[in-house]
This record gives sequence, structure tokens and C-alpha cells, in this order.
Amino acid sequence: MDCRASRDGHTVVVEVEGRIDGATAGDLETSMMAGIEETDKFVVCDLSGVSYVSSAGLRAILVVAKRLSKQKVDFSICGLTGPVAEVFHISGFDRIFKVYETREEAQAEATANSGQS
Amino acid sequence: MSKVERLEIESQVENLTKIEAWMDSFCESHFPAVEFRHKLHLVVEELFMNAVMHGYGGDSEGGPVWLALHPLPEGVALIMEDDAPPFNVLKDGPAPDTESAVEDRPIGGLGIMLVRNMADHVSYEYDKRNRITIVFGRGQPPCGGTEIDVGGSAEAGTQESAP
Repeated sequence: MDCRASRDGHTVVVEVEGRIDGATAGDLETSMMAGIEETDKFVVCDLSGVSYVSSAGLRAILVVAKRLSKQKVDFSICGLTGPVAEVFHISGFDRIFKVYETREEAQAEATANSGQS
Repeated sequence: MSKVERLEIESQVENLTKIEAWMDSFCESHFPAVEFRHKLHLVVEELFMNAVMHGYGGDSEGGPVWLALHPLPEGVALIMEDDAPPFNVLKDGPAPDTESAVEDRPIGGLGIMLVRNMADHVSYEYDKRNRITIVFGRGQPPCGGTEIDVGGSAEAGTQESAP
């Protein structure tokens, strides 16, 4: 599992690659939180490079999202494919988060929202 | 004839990689379909992590987990056993919540829900060990646990009886 954050204004894109399982979920939680700064307003989590996610991975993403929600940071997810999309769907996670097909869509939405506020 | 694959492994999170390698080698010889492989990985991880985190109560204690994969004519049966106190994870685990918003969403019950969704048959029994039997595809799950023919075991089963 690999996790990289890149910043564009107040928007952070966290790009995750590999498997998010019981052995790597803890690392994901830590590195996502480390990559996000207090001044960030929008976080887009790009999972297009993720081939596998288990409930441990969902849990890590939920923990991060809960923390961001408290800090009034807008959180969205993009790039769900194949089995990862299926796991998000079965667990209802595709309904509790804002989910976009592509990173561009998620970023465009974040930019539009930042303009309104 | 297809052979039963067995693995006995300590209930430590780090062992997930070893279990994955074991499953992959089984899949390569029996079930090359990638879709199935994903289901198998997910189900085994959820059950194993459950034994690690709850059954044996965290990393401090731990104990053995026994896994067996039985090829069936139209699928595969997975049996997982552990030595933790009796607990029917299918019945007594937390109910998953798939509706609440992010702030209220409880964390728990999701793993078993995924297992139920991925498998075609799921059952639990206790007979000296916790035993979960999963079937992917179609077929009668084998009776008994991971060690039904241990002692005999798959190898011994193919041996000629010693003179």
C-alpha cells in the first residue's frame, strides 16, 4: 500500500495504491492524516490505484472521514473500480461519502464549492 | 483428483501475507478466475482478522488458526477453525449499519456482512473449536473440520496402506 498527498490551493488529493487490508489499513490512516494540513478545506481520496479493500480498509477510511467531518473538511472519494467498487456498494459506503468517477470531477466539485463559500 | 490444501498459522496480523500467498497458489492450480480470487481473499481476511482481533482478543494472546480449502466439482469450500472461546460470529456479532451518515456510522459488523455477500453458503458450528464453513459456487460442504483426514491427511489418504 502506498499513499501520496498532493496539494492544489485548499484541495488535497490523496492518491492510494495497492491493497488496503488488515495489515496496511493502520498505515493508511496514519499517512492520510499526516498528509492533510489544518488549512486544507477539501480532501479528495483517489482510490483508482487500489486493487483490494477489506472491512479493515473501509474502517480506516471511515475513521479519517469522521475526523475530517469534525474539522469541517469536505471529503470525497473517486476512482472506485471493480471489486473495490463492489465492496463500497455492499457496505453502503458509496452512499455515505461523496463519490465521483474521476479525480477531475471531484476536484471540479471542490473548486465550485470553494467559490460559493 | 483435486487435493485439499491446509494451513495452520498463528493468529497474527503479519501472517495475512502468508495466507494470501497460500490462497494464490491454490487458486493458480484450481481457480484461475480473478473474480473468484478476490472473493476468496476478502472472505479469508475478514474471518482471519476476526479471529485475531476478537476471537483471540488482540495481538497479545493469540493462538492457532486452521484453514482448509476443499475443491468441489463446481466450486470450493473453505473451512476455518480457531481455538478461541466459543463465539458464533454469524449470529452473535454486531449487526452492520449501512445507512447512517459518516458522523454516526458505527464501526463494526461490516466484515461478516461482506463474507455473507461474497459466499454462497456460510455456516458455523462448535466442536472443540470454532468452525466456519464457507462454500463458493455449488456443492456439498465437506463434513467435519480442517482435520477430518489429518492424521490420515490428504497425503496419507493417497498412500497405500503400509504392510
